[in-house]
Amino acid sequence: MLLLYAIEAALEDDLHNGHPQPRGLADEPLSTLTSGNLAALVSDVDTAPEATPQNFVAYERVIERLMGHATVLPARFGTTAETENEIKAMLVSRHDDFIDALRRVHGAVEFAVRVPAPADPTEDEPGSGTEYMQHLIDQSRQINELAAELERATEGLMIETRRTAKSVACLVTKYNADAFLEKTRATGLTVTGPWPPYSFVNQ
Amino acid sequence: MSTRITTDPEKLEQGLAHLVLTIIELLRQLMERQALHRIESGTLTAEEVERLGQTFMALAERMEELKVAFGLEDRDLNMNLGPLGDLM
Repeated sequence: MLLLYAIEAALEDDLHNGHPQPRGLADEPLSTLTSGNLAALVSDVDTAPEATPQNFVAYERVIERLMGHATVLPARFGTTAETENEIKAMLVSRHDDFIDALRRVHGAVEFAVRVPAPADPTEDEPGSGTEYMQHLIDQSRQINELAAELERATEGLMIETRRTAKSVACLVTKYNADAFLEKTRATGLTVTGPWPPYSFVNQ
Repeated sequence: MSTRITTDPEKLEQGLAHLVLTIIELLRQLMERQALHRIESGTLTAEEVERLGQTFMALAERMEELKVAFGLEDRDLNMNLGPLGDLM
């Protein structure tokens, strides 16, 4: 069985030359499966990895090492296939999606900026229906304010943003990553990253 | 790969639950947004807001239970519509 870590442009594969390739889960070496202009980075596993914190961290580390010197589309944790052909067939059938996504995230990383946690955590637990609706209204207002504040603070350093209920994902080029961190931290926002661009890859 | 339908009964059930819950979650979010618009525009009475809130709160709770029961996460309840982007 093969565990998929990431997808990249086949040409990018050259960029890993000269860098020690990270090892996959269970200390198996990574291999590259190529189909046309796309390549998939995989390693052998006996079974699909269990969703444990250790495995998440190990998987994440492999992807972060890979994104250090190339643009990669991170796979979802635990994506497996029985055969090499299955992976190659996916590279063919979703070719256009992957190329679009690679273009979008080229040379970029993701930062996550969270809505500040409420001072009183019990505020998060609505009791009545009215409170629940008010909570939803507040939540969407907070996220809009956060996105606007980010926009002001980072002055065009972000390529794209995506909002979830409690955070804003920001796509930023590696080149601008330090400036982005500096500006967001200066405004007291809670930022994590750089992450692989998970929120900007539709897999 | 992960969304392929196989003939394994357990996986088939899981796949069906995944599809049904994705659609329910989409409808739930659409209705919730619609309700928020109406509340913000001030066209609902306090009693109506309370009733809507109770309903959505119960729906959200039930949805959480179903997600746990079928081992699904929030991001599983989305669908890539190709050139149209994500469903939600």
